[in-house]
Amino acid sequence: MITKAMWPFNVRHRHLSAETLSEHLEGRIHGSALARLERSLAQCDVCREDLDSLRATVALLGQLPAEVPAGSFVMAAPPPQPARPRPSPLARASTWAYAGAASVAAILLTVLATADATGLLAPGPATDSGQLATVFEESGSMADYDSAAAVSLATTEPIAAIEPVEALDDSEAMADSGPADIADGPVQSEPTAAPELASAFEDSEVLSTSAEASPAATVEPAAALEPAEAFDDSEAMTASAEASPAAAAEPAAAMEPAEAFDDSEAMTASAEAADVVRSQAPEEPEPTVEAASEGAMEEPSPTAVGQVSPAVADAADAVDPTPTEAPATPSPAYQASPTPGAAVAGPVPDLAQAPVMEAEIEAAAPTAEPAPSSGPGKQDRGTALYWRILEGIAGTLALIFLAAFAVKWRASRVNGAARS
Amino acid sequence: MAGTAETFGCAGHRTLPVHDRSGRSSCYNCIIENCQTRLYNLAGRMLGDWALAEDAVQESLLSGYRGFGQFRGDNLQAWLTRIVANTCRDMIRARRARPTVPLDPLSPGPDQQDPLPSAADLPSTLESPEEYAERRELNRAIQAALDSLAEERRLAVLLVDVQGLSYEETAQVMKCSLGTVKSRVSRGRRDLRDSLQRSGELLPSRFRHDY
Repeated sequence: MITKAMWPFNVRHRHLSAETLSEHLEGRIHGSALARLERSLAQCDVCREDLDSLRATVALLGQLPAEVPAGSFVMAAPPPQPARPRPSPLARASTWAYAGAASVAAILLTVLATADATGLLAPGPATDSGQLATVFEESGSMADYDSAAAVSLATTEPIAAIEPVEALDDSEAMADSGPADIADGPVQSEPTAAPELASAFEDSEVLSTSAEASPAATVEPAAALEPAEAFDDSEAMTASAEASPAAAAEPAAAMEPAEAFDDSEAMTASAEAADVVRSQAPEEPEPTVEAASEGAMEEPSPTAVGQVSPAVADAADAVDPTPTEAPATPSPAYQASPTPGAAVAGPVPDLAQAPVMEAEIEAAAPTAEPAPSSGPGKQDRGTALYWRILEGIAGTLALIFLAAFAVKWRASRVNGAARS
Repeated sequence: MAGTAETFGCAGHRTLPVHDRSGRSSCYNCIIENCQTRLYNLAGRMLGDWALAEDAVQESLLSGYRGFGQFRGDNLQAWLTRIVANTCRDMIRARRARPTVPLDPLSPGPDQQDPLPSAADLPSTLESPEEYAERRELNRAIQAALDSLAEERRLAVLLVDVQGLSYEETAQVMKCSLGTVKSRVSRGRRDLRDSLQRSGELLPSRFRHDY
């Protein structure tokens, strides 16, 4: 085999590279390679020039005068060690630990959300939970949650199911229609109570008009003062007074449960529930109306059932029960007491006579707290809320860990760039 | 294991005991005295600015003292040189990010045709004024050529051809392979020669005369 070096007719000479020449300058080329290199140098002036110039450069560098520092760098005293605060465990954690935590939280959130969407988390009556989930997802607010409860309540009673459910879609319309119905009923109004009541509320104008328009607002002022404290929004009070005569008739009973509500629209929902019951009036006049008033009173917060019941019983004792004059009309009959000593509930609210309604009301419980009188529906909703809180926590954790990972990753990149 | 001036052989400076990773103790001021000129020259040639070089060496020696516990105890000179090289690199980058008008005599700006001589450029009694002027001019040309080199090539050329380190030591300082050092040194020399030839300093009649 003939190598290039052995080839006798070396027509094209390749100049020696700077690297080869550099190595030659340092005496690192030996043996046959050195001989070949020297032959090249002898043949080529350019290569020789190259080598000479490189050698001169290295010589120049070697002859550079050594500069002497103006002063010595010797330390007179040991320099203080910089106070480096020990980073917190959170800051010391690995970047990828945060990424892992974020992933775990995200997976947890996904699992929870999926299980929730498929209804695995809240086992119970299919209609109840299904409707609840749908309505709750659409609205998200407590008031709508309550109206959703009213929907489920209505569906459990086949007779009342169709009309109320449609009407409840628009809760405001329902609340507005309330006074009109009541006005038809044989209800006595007491106008003198209205201004006093109005003074107890922040928004007096709205309430006074409602009190005038609605005979149901014949309320004992002393009783009204208490609920006024519980309410932030007087408008809600108006709505409830308009729509629910029962609530107005016994304000003390109606308002106590209201303490459990943040959202005033919830009261409107309670009025709707009252109307749901009212629609049943033609079939069963006496017990249903009683149940209606009771239901309306208890509807805002079933957790207060225990509180309401004695109050209602007291009212029944104190007031001369006036019978319903028109049981067939959709409006429940009320008679407000002219005496300011007590509020009047039209029919005697016998709690024992309305077992069905009570169960329904309890089923409509919006609270997550396990009340002593909780039914299966209540537990379901409590569980659903519990799972949703968990989902929220998982989502928040995922976001926090993701943010921490992003910050750490960015910091590590900046540090890495500075180090390299 | 606190050493005294006697154990370290200290003279003329305060004993500053330091311990490396293997537990061996030495006096840091002795180490400084041994290598400060070398480090200062490296920093000065790397930065092209002797005032900045003082800062760089000061900073490097300080961080060397603080981090002496991480030194494995094999090659102190390479370790300290590496610290100085890193400090210089940081300073070069900072300067590049925030360019300033150079006021140093080694790298005069376009308006500074006749800068004041630095302490190193002061004429000695052994040379004539012509020789002094020639030497100064050459030094400036070499520094300008060095400044034109790429950072890594400049460091490699300075370590091998100015500081006299072996390729192996240079590889240790630069934390790269021997082949990389060879390549950087040869290319640095070539670039430096080209630069000097362009500036007219490396003419055959010129570089053959005796200094």
